[in-house]
Amino acid sequence: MTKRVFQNKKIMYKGLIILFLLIAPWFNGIFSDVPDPQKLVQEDMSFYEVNVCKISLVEFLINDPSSIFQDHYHFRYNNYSAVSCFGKISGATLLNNEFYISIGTNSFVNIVIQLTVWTLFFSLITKEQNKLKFSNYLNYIASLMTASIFTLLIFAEKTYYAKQFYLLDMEDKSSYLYIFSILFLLTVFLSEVIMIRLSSVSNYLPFIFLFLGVFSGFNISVYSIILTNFGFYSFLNKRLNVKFNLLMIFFSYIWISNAQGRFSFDPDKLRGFTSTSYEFMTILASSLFFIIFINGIIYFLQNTRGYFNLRIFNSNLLITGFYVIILGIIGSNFPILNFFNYYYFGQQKYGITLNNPFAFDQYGLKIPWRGFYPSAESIGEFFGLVLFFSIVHFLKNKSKISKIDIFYLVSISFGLYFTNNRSVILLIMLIMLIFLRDKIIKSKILFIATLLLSTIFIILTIGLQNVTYPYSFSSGYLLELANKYTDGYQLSEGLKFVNQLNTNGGVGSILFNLFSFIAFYLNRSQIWAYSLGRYNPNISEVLFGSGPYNFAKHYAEINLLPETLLLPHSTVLSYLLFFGLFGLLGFFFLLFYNIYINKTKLNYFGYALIIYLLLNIIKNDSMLYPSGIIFYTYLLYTTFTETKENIFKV
Amino acid sequence: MEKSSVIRLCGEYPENFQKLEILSNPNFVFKPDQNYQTRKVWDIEGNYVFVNSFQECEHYVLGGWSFDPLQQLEISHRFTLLVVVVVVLALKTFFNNKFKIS
Repeated sequence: MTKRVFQNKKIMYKGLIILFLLIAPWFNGIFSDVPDPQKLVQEDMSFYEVNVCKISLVEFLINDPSSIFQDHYHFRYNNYSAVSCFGKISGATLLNNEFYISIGTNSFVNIVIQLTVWTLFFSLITKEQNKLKFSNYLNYIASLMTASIFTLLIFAEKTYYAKQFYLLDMEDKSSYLYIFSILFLLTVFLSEVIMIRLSSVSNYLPFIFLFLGVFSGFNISVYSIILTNFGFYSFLNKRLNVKFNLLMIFFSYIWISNAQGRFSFDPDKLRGFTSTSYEFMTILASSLFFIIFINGIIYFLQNTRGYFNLRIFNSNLLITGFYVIILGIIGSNFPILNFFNYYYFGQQKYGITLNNPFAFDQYGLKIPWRGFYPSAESIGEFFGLVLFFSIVHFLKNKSKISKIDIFYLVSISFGLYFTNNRSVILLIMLIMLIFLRDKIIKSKILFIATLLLSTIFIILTIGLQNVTYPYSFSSGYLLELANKYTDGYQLSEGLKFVNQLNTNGGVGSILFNLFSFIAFYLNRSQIWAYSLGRYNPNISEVLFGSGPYNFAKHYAEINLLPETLLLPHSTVLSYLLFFGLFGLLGFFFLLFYNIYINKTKLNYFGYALIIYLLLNIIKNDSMLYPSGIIFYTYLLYTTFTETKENIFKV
Repeated sequence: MEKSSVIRLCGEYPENFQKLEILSNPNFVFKPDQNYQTRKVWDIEGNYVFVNSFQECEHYVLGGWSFDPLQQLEISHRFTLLVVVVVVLALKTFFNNKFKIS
């Protein structure tokens, strides 16, 4: 009884601290002697040009409450501002009759506030009784090493950080000592909370789609810090796979020795898990980071093995899916909440401002609505996974379904529709058919109706007009586009090779035509044509890639017309760029080898999940986000290894 | 470090910049540069002067007038932030040990 009261008190105190951190920062300077705030008017914006960093955000909102909900107001962070300017209006401007209000958000204050809030949320996860034994001493050393590697990453990307850190001399060694100190202290704080909850954390993993965890003003995610710390901890515990690490070191050596030239990249929605430049130092630092990060994932997977609980996991999927939709809708309707979503959930970019998720464009096509998440397709995949696990949990395992679960499921189905991810809708329908297969086969009418409906839906998904094109057109469309996009001066090595292949004919040409045909029906011709037009590797990069999660060279080396920064929309193509043919073959070998050795353990749903993930890996960028790589790896590993209680037990 | 201070306080070095011999000439007078925006440089005691050319600015900055009150204020605020983090972490450790919680 006393223990329970104590627990409740603890939760209450944590709640109060979170509430304080949510509200207090935006009151900064409210009691100081400053002029009364003025309302923004189109005719005169001078007040906020003169009174920079004097009016707190709360004062501004009290004075002009319409800015909270009117959609011509946009609140934007300004990480390059002084500590004293935090939470104050650092400028305002008028663009296309819309107000853009800049709020002072110093990068160092950001990392302290954001990490504290997220750590407090993590601490609400209940600890397992049979928790892992962990050494505080080793954890401190791991935290020291974690802070060092992130300081090295910041040093390697100093051109990017010079625009994020206010008046911090990036050439001065003492600046890095400061960065290291703050990172070390925060890592200690975070890791102590996570380590003792490690086994339970896995069932709360769906929340990484809600708490995206990217620090404002940093190209770092909180999950990178956690997993890097795990990586170093496993290294100190001497629990490394030596052969795997030697292979990674070999790949790193190739990447580093190839790193010539200097290219920069705007990370945009990939911020937190990509490099902002391609040069010797960046490749060196990111290669080191990547090795440790992968070791961290392995440590996490090994230590959460056997703790999977479908009931808790599914419940957390439903809650996360629902809140992702609700926060997206709220953020698109209330500009100030859009800003707070960005800040407190660690978004890579602001949520969508289109406040009608049912909207169609002028051609009658559904506009994909990404809501809260940076990518509509990726969050569509997540909603698909929520529905998938719910099918398994509620229908197949006949678990009790509550009214709130039905409400969540309906909301998430709408969410999937909003994202317009038709291939996921199709996949979920196929999974439903697998579930209902016995009933369908028994009735002839049901069987014919299902077949008919499925065919109609597949045709609608692909697009009626696309079905009529001959193979010769669809199989040559990608290459035709890739050649069309070149600027006439530069031709990438990849495009040269495929053109040559096409001229020579033979098996290579047939295979590429098949690839182009698949791309056409996946609606990927244009995007993959851009990727091909830019793919410009030397022989070593073809085999080993150009470095982990680095797009800088790819986007800066070859100019295409029209100039676009569209991502490859395929993890396979991205991985070919990062890790080369050998890396990609290794990835697929590992996957298929695991399927082979676990074939007796996998049932229909296990295979369905693997096919679902694999298809999305082929046609989408989900694994480029920290949430995607962690979640997908966990699902694959759990599907293969869950022996104590098969996750798809029927 | 000194060069970076000059760039930070005076701006980038102009093309074909030639450093003049100033110290050996006690009657040297700095000529204002019409294309150079007047800047203010401080010494450590808070005294300040206005400089009207890159040449003059560089001379003052290299002579010790490289104190930037804005930057010093920012450094002190950043240091305070670090102290706050240390104190919070120390308090957390203290309470965790006292009540055997984590």
